[in-house]
Order: sequence, then C-alpha cells, then structure tokens
Amino acid sequence: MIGPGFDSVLDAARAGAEWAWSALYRDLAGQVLGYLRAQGAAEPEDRLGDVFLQLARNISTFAGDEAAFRSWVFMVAHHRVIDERRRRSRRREHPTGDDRELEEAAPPAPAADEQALSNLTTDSVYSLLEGLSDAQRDVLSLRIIAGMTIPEIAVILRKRPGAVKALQRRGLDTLRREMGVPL
Amino acid sequence: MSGFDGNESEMERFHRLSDQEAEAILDGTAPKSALGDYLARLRSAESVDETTATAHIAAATGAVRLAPAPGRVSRRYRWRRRTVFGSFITAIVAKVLAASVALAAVTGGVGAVANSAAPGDPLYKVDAFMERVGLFDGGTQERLQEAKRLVSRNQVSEGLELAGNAIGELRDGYGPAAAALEQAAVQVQTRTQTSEQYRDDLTEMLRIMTRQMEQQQVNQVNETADQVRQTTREMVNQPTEAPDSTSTTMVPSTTAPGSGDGYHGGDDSGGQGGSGDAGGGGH
Repeated sequence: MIGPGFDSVLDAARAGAEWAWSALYRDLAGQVLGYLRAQGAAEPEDRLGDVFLQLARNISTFAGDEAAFRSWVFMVAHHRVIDERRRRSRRREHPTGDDRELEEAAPPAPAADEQALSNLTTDSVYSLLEGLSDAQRDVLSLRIIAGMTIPEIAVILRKRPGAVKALQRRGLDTLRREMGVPL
Repeated sequence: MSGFDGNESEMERFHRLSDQEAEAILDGTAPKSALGDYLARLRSAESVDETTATAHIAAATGAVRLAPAPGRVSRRYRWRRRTVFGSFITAIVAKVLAASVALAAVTGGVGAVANSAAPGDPLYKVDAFMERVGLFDGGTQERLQEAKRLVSRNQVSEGLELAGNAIGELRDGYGPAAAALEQAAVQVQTRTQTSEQYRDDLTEMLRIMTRQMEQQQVNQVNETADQVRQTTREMVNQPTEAPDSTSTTMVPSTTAPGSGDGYHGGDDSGGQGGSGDAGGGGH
C-alpha cells in the first residue's frame, strides 16, 4: 500500500514521472507476479511487463483511489491470463481443471505435515493450485495473493458476489482435499 | 458438482466448509492449520529481480511519455514511433545497462548487456521485452548480429532461425531470404557440431547480409541467404566435419570488386542471381 500519498503518486505517474512508476511497480509487481504464476502463466515476467505497459498506456483514463487502482491492475493482469488461457485451449494442451476431472485424475495427496509444507519449492506451492478449476483459481488467487475483497473480485470476474463466495469455499475444499489435511 | 460426490470415505474425512469457515481461514482468524500455512506461503509476495524491474519501470514510464494525449488518441497507435524520444530512450538504455552491471559481472561477460544479449543470455528476455515495446532500436540489424553470435557459438540452427525470423518480418521483397534461412536452419537442426570453418563462413555471410540490409539491397540479401542455404546443405552432406578443401569454396571471395558488400561466393553457381530453388525465388 502506498497510502495517503497515493493521489500525488498517481498524478506524477500520469505525467510520466519515473519515480512514480517505480513506486507503483514496487508496491504491486510482486503480487501481480505471484498472481500470474499462480495462474500458470507461461512467461510470468513478460506478462508482468505487459500489465504495466498497458497500465501506462491507459493511465490517463483511470480515475479513482488506491483500492480502485489495485482492482484495475489485477483486472488487467486477469485479462492477460484469460488471453493465455484462450490460446492454450485452442492448442488443447491440457484439460482444464474441472472438478470431475480432478476427481478422476488426482488422487488425494498423502497427508502433508507442516514441515513438508514449509519445504515446498515455489513451483510446488503453485502446483497445488493446478487441481482447482479455472474459476476457483481465479477467485482464490485474487483473494489470497492479490488481497482483493469479494465485491472487488466480483467486479473483476463479472460474477455475482454470491457466486464468488461459493467458488472460494469450493476452492478451499478442493485444496484441503488435495493436501489431505482436514480442517 | 463438488468433488465429493459418491465417495463415502472421502465424505467422512472431509466436511464441506461453510462460508464463515472459509472466511475465517482466509482472514487468518481460524485456528492454525496446514491449509492456513499454505495460504500464507501463497500470500508472501514474489520478488522481481532488479534488472527486470528496471526494464519494466523504464518501459512503463516511456509508454506514458510516448502515448498520444487523451482526446486525440488513435487506439492503433504504433509503438515503434520513437524518434522524437531518442534522448529519453537513451536514458532508459543507460539505466538498464547500469542495472545490468552486477549481473554482467556475475556472468563474466563485459558485453553481456541487455541491448546486445542473444538468446540464452541472462539479459536476453529484457532485451526482447524492450524491443517488443519499441524502446530499443533492436530490429533486424540487431537480431542479425545476435544470429551471427549464435552461429559463431555453434548454435547454428538457432542463429539461422533467428536471422530468418528477423528478415521474414520485413516482408518487402525479402521473402526468398527468409525462406532460404529457414530452410538452412532446418537443415542443420540435427547437427550438434559443425566445423569452425563452416561457422566462420556462415558468420561472414551473416555479416555481409547485415550490411546489405543496411543498404536495402534486397536482391543481394536474397542471394546471400541462398548462399547460406547452399552452404548448410553442403555442410550436412558432409559425413563428418567439413574438410578444408571444400570449405574454401564457400569463403567469401574477398570483397567483391565494385559492388561493396555483395556476397559473391566463390562456388560454381557464380555470383549472379543465385539458384532458382531458394524457396520462392522470384518473389
């Protein structure tokens, strides 16, 4: 969070001040990169660059506070994810993680104790998310990594808040089951 | 609908979360659990390496300055308009190079700076990104330089492919050259080793082609690319390494009299017109 100084940072960013872009980037890039990785982006660093380029191109049209700006950032990132997903589905590389496919394809992982969890590499941390459906992963990534609220996620995903809540709950259920760890 | 249908034992082990329980897990107020720990791991932000960050910030700043004023925006604005901003872009290059110094020191390559990085170099992705958004004057010339460097490093197929792609994007009459280079790349794909003599010949041809490109000598570029194709064909037909006696026929026969950098290979096809089977020669 940038906080009270956000408006002046935004004004400077609109004017093309490098310090302002640096502030915005350093505040958000880590989370955006995490979001892109969680969504399985093929070249997450490149997509991150694309996201900030698009923000820069359209910054003159943005109006709002810091929360709105964050929502916009992740909306742009999400659109890059959707683009990639469409390209992939055209190529039919992998079936998408529909719940029923998950049932057949992925037996529950052996019980993972906390030590094992703490030893997970970055890749394997994200690999647990592969068992989620795309919609569940969208919601949980925005909620957990981007720190979005349910209403914010509903706007980004163009879903009703109730549907977002249900996806969130089912996504967590799926994760618990994948981890073999009851609540 | 959920993943729990029809499996009694699973249903016994897991109960479905309520919305309240889900919220408690997500906001960290639920009792400590492995799932909670996992979410915390997910939440911990990724870090972006400094070189990438510098490039992205510079690109974003540049994008704002290059963008047309709102109100007279053409959505089809082309990024590659950059002449007015030469000095600004020079500053960006300087910043990225500065950020590269540490990395270059680690990798041991004084020349390993973003704007001259070849595929496989640590900074190539930054270079490619900057080129893609039009902030480095990359373009065909630079990519041919990269191609030359790859060939000299024994990555012959990759180098020729890169050269073919670079030229292929130009379109204006360079189709035969692009096709010939692509064929050449395919021909040598299975070759892991090529003789130094062949590599020297190919890098020399790429050097000449770069000069020809600069002078927009379309026909000569196409001819030289065809020479590349013939050379690689000869190379792959060699049972092992190319003997010196054959390779001498491919060495550029000095600088061509009269016509600057035209590649006039010394083989018996002569320097005129190239052979007709260069993949769409009469383009």
